[in-house]
Amino acid sequence: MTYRTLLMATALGAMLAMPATTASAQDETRIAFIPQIAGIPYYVAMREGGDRAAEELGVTYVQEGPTSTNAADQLRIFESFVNQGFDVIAISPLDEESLRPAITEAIEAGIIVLTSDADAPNSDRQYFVAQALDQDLGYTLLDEAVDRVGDSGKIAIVSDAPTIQSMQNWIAAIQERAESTYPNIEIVSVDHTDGTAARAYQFATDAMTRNPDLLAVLGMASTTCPGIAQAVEAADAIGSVLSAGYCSPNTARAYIESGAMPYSVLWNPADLGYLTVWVGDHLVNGGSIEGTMEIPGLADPITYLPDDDIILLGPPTVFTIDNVNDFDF
Amino acid sequence: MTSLSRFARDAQRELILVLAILMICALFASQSEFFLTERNLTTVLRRSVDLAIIGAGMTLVIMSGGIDVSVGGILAVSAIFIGRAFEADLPAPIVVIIGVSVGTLLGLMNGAICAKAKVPPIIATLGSMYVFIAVLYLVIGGTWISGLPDTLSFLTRGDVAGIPVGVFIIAAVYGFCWILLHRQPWGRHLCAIGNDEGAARLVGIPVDRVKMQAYALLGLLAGLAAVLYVARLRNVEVNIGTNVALEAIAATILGGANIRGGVGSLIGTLLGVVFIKLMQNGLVLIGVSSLWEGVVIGGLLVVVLSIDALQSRYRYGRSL
Repeated sequence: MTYRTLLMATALGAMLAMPATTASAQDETRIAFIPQIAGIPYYVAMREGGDRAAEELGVTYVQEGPTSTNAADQLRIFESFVNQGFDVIAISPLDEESLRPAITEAIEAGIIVLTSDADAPNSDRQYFVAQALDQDLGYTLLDEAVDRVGDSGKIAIVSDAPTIQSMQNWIAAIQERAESTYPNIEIVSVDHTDGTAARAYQFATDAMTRNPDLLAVLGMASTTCPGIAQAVEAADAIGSVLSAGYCSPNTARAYIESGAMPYSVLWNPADLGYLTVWVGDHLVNGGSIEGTMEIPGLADPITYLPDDDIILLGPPTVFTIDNVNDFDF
Repeated sequence: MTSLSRFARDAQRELILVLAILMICALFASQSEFFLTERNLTTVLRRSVDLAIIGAGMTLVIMSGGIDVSVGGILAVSAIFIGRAFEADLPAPIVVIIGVSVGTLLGLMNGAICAKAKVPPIIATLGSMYVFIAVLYLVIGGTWISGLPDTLSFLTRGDVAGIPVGVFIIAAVYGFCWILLHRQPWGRHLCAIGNDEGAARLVGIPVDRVKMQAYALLGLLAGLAAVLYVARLRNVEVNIGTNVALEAIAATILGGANIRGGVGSLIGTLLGVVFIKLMQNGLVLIGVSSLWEGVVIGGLLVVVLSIDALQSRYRYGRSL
């Protein structure tokens, strides 16, 4: 019994001592990014871009996210980075409300807090490093659909959890574009999956059943793409029902090639990861952000939008059969 | 007459479920012209197969007094092996054997932890679920397995004599489980263990072996479900298997199984699966937000469990 207690005490001691020694040994700038979920190709590409920037700028970059889209886990990871004394913490928030107090505390402790990939506009975060404006993304997805199926008919939307703010914004932008520009386009339904391809498949199939004259199914999350495209293939509806969404080229490739999903709209997450680390390092070194800026590691200039403190990567990218093989994420 | 009333008593839960299914069908049909169409019902049937076969295994495990909350993880890990086997261009029958074997092994592992190490099943399988999900992340890392060949698609999309292949799979699985349960000593042993494990041990029933076999069978069926999942969706995503355990347990309990063991009904479970899948489909078709589905199914479970508790209190007198 005493032996075991001793062992546990030693282990506990080692655990407590470890972060302390690493923190004191480093003067280097440390930047963390917390994605919405670990292990999906999208965030892996972001990490690759972040790693590239970290190497060029001589900073430490760590990416760690929850294993499911769980806001409580994300908060726990955020707090652990605060306790480890990181200089910059960037986060793609799952749930703004649960993070808000923690963001305020981190800033009071002198940490630079950015949102990246998704925003928490009502929090105290300093800047939002944005891949593309939600409005541009929403408009582009719908405009490309209208180009292919015409500007009159029914469209269904399949999304992931309704707590993910960016997806809610895209849905709102699509609905707004439909009302303002395409009065004859009707958004017939918005369904939310549990993150599995099976549920996306189910919702897409049911939407086609409910609306035999459906023109298109739009998927808001990469997790929905295989499901909605498979549903179109299974219903033998290639050519009559279009599927499209915000899907990574690797997820969409098979369906872009089969014709079930003629295009996908997204941005280059490696560039977004690069920009996030660049902004973090720039701010730690006392730099300012203004107007349009050329970044050494990025092809296009970035834009600063002072009204909402948004640093914008650029316009969205449309992946089609012509360019999908140029990307690997 | 007596045999009829006995049937009505024994099959009370099944009859209630049939009535409930008819009621929701009437409701959905009155609200949507597309609900009671051959095409829609066939679609619902095809997508119910995975859950139905896992439900059969879950029924046996719950009857033995156990539970397995890790079936989603077993499905996920089996799916990875199936995906990798496909990527390695192995022939379809070998792929099926690999998927089913992996599931069986993982189920057996759960069974061994519960039976031999005497860890309470909900804790043991909760632990293994975490491990399975970690394996999923570690093995597939950042990249989903996607764009797999459609060599097995006939299992989920095909027909034999105009009947979906899935119907034959369900019939085979339920037939096999029914024989095990009602025509073999194994079934009586399983019920005995679920009713009173100590007594079962005293009369010489090989308790540990029967339990491990039940978990292994559930694992096997989860592996088979993984084959069907990958055959249908042709990709393995990181969230694969979410909610599978919950839905399977919900169907089993709705179908009349007692969560404390000893009692359960294969037909009831199958009806429970049909109920859940029709509910998911119907709510979308009548235009109710999909967010309500959890409320409806969760609420129903609470109602069913409450009625069960009240009934047993009434039946066994006021001493409780």
